[in-house]
Amino acid sequence: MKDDEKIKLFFDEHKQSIDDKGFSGRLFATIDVLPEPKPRYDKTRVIIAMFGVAGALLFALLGGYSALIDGLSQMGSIATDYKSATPEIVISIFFTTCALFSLGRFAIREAE
Amino acid sequence: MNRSEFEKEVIINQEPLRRFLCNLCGGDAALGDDIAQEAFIKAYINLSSFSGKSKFSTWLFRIAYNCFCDNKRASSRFASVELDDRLSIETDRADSRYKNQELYMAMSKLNEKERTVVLLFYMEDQSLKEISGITGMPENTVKSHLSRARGNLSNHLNTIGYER
Repeated sequence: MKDDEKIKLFFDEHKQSIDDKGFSGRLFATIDVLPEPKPRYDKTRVIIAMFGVAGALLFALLGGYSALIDGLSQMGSIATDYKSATPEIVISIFFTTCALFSLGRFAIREAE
Repeated sequence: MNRSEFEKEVIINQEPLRRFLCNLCGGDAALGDDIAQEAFIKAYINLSSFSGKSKFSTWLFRIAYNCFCDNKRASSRFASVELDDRLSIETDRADSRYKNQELYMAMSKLNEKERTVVLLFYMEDQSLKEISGITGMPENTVKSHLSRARGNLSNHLNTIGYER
């Protein structure tokens, strides 16, 4: 008999059944005198919305749109002539990819 | 989760939780019940912090395990390996008393972390991920505790000639 099976069998054989013996009743009586638990208030969405709005405002105020267009046109020129890619551009592409990947993983984990 | 849903969870989880704590306390059923009661009350008070990402039982077992650790820290009653001397679980029948004795003898061969992991894995049928959630240990640490415990238990069972 394999060790694992033997141990499993041992624990199955020695598993005690524990009667309630008034445990739940005593617990509910104790809970009766406690205040009702407050409903869950999920702050995550509020925080995400707040930072989203702040990000959009900063983007608009600091001329993010024109910078984005410039960046995209530079990306387009790199795609056509990859030799013009400087180390800064390669590093920024790398970190942007990492950030997007992390964001995706976070979103998946939150959705689970 | 409201009060009636919580009551249903109490009914479902009270037996495995009390058994786990009783065995973790080396058979001291009264102490196990006290810790279980404390854990259920803490769970009820903090119901709003249960996000539903894990099973309710995993969350409850985690609270109970933390209560056990706090209790152990506060008292020196479980400081050393003296499980085999304190077989105080109340049972009426001699055969079940003998079975418990066998179990606590086996448990006394393990350290506290191994005991916790083994009880959750073999007796309460929790998965490695759930055990990791309950004890706060990484899954690989749980695996290594389980593997060491398996070796120790296997030696002990061979020594006492356990064959079924």
